[in-house]
Amino acid sequence: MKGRVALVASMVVAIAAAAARADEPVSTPNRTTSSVDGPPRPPAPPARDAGPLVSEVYARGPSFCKDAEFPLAPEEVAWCDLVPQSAKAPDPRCPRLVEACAHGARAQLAGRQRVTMKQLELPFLGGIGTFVGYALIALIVVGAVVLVMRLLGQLRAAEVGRAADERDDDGPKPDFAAREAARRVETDVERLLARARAAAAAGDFSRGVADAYAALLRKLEGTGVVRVEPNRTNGDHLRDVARRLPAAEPDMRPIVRAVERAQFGGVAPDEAGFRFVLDGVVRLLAERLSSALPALLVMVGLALGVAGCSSMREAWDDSPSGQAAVLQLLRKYGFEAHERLSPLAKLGAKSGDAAAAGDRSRGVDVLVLEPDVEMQKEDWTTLDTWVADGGTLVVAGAGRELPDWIPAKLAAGAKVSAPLEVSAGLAPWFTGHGASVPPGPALEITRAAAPPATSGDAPQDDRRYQAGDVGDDDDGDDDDDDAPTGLWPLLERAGKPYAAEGFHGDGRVVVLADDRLFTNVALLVPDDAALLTDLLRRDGQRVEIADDLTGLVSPNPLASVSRGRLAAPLLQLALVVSLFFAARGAHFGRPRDPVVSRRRAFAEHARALGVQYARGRAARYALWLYGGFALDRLRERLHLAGGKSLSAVAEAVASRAGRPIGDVMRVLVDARDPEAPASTGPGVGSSRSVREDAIAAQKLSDLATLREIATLLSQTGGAGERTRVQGQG
Amino acid sequence: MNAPGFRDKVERIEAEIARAVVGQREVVQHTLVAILARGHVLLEGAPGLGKTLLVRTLARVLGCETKRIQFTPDLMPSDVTGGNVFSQARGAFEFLPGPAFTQLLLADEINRAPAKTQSALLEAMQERSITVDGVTRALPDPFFVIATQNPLESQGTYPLPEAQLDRFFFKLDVRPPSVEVERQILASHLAGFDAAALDRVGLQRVVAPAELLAMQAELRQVRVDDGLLSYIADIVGRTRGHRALYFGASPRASIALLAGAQARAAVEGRDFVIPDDVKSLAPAVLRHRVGLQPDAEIEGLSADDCVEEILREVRVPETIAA
Repeated sequence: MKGRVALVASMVVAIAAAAARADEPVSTPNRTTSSVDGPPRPPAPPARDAGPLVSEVYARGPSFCKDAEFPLAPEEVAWCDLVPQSAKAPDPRCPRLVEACAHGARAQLAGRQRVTMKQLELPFLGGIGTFVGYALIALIVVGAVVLVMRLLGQLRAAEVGRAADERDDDGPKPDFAAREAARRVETDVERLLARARAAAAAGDFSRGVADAYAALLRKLEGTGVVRVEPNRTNGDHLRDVARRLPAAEPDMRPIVRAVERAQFGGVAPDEAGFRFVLDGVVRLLAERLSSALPALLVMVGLALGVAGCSSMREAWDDSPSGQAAVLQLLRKYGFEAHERLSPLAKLGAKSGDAAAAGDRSRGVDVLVLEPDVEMQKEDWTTLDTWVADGGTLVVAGAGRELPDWIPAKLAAGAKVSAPLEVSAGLAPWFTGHGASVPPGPALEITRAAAPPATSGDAPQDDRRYQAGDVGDDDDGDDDDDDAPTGLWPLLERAGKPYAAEGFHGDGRVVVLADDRLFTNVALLVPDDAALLTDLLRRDGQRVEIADDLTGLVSPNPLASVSRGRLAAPLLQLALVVSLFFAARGAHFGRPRDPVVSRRRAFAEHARALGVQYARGRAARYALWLYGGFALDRLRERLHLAGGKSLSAVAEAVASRAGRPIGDVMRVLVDARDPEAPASTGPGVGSSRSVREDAIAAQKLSDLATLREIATLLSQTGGAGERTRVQGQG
Repeated sequence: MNAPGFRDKVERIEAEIARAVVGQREVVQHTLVAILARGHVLLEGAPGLGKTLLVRTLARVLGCETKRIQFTPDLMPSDVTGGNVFSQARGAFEFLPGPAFTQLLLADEINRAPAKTQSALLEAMQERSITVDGVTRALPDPFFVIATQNPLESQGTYPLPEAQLDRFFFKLDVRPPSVEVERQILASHLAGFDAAALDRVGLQRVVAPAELLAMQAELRQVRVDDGLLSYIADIVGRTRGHRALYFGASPRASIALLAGAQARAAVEGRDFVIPDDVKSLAPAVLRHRVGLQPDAEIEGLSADDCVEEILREVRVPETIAA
């Protein structure tokens, strides 16, 4: 009931105020009409009724207005009594807020985090760690550039191939080998499919079938199912699929058969054959995607899970403590309002000056300073200059230490709870007479000043309140502007200041005890929105709200990752990638056969020994040794040990080997008693060439004898005997 | 060529063989391929793995006349080929055919006989005829030899001469069965199966020798792409320059690989050869036709390893790999 009365009262006041404004539009305190030296500023938005605009803003329904279970923080619950709502008659702009309020406080606010969580912080590793971090980033960037260049190269090669094909279509018959080479280097699935369709459209169904099948193989290769190598057949691929992707094998088999018929069957495929292969390939590719979908969903789920552990900025902006609705209201009202991201040190010219310079984006008329802006000394210096030059600074929250030129601080003592009242004398400038905020500390003005006197509806003893007399002073009285100035109360509750106002140079400073007027939920309180727009409307069109994102610069990459809340997702991604490569393996370069470090083989020892015999002209000696060895083995195998004659051995060997006894006897005699070495054969007086020829002939003869002996050994067999003689048979 | 019909016949043959021979599917299929390609098969494996049973079963299923020679160290060539003996009734020498005069000759444990006896089969296997005392006599058609041998490391064995080995179309390694297959063998034994009494199994003749000859003739219609001829030549050619081989396969191996690939294609129900046919048969065709360098042998390499390596090096026709 109380809320309804307040609502009706506020509406009456608002209507009356609007009527009064309508009667006197010229007297609106607007200090943005002109500047003495500079060009005219863009005018501030004209006065409007904020109530309907708030309804428009809330028509989209932020989450806390739609969710009865929305967890409110204690600071937000404090607004519940101020919003005109009850269980039976909820605020139509925010219908579920009353139910959320009924649950009481169920969340905590820590900065801009609704639900506190243990963020995964990357440790600071010192100078070396920072260096390594930068080095890693540089490597990633270089790798990305190389990858892009390679991809561009491949695209260019494909374009060249396509252009060559197009030329071929018009010109003489293409060189099959060149086209085949161009086809083989293509690995992109989509391009292969497109080429297959293009080839089929041109009537080349054989090529279409080959390209479609290549697309399937490349896809399977990309997913690690098959290995496409020059030595692998279609059957190898099919077996790979049967082993690693059994569900796809029945569908792939008929495709492979059709492709093989086209490749080796001597029957050129027709359109139906091409359609069969293409449809099968496309179906398989789709199935591959669908089989990968569960994994993809798991990945997305994990990512969302990680993301859900933290409070996203968007969620904050739409919460009762956020500012999304505030910014929308200001825009609907006519302000150019946005969140300030660039550092305060870059605070440039006001909008009018910037416009004169052709750069409107740099101008700011009103800057709202939220409590969570990280302020440095240099920032205050910049603000000092900027305000002195004509800017308007709204310090939303006096909890921080303020510079001397803003003489205010929070008053010690109990919280004050009462509706806001505009200070006497300034009331005509404001329409939000029924505004209120939850209980909080009062403001203490450390250097007071008298408020400007008003004449009628406008303060008249200060030029900055006079229309057409704002901006840079034209009387050369700058010294007065730079002198320390005081503040006077602007808004009060229970007789204690809630907001104070003062001039600084050509600009204006407004200090509020807290930032609650700049929250979404405040707009639901009668007259808070009107008070807010009145507060900002006097000094121009361009409004920026500086908050925790303003001038956000990370000292190092690790801090940047951490601040971006990317540490957990990145570590998760690294874990997944590690698991993937651990499961699948990956080449870090072109695969090469391992270098085989062979030990010296037995045959090489034998060869080296033979070379030594040859150098020592002792080839016949080697023959004699081998002959003796062979005779011993033959006697052993034929059970002829014990002094059996050579003829007995020859007879047994001939019987076993099925050879004439004469031949065997000749070999055995040569083996037992080699003739005199050839080196001593041709005597003195022979020419050098004759001697060399004789030696060569002798060597060949000895080699033949050795082979015959080996053959006899082979033919007589024996356990473990596996000697082969080349050329036998 | 009626490729599906061809395949149906082969499947019926395989099914009938499977009633007696449990497991060894690849050996059975390769043996059938060799028979269809008019080739001879050398089965190598330890005793007791079913080599002889397979041959006896084959003889019954194919309806071929079969004879068996048990090779022993004292076996003489005339025991294989036959010879002229004096007939007192006629008062003249007359030829008494040896066991080689049959359609399916089982040469059991062929490497237990010395080389001269083994060599008695050379002419029979290549020319399908036998010459005794200057008279050449043709062997029945079809004629094929299925020889079994124990591994060379076994006691009392003689290596087959290269000339003899080269005449075998395939050399198939008969490996011990898996536990599951062995369990099936035991169950079959419990059910009353006796390998020594195949009559009781009731094996049916699936094709007659004439049909077999027709099937052999049909293989000539199986198409072979030019690229596959190069593929075969490349594979066999590389055996001659391989670092671990001191002699490679002969052109007879290329011909065998080609004919085998045609037979395999028909067995699979195709009227054209694909690279898989060649690749899958290459080890069986080449492993007994190459000679390992002693050092490679000492290092533990086998002929199969070399063939596998060659197959990894040779480019398959129509591949998309760059």
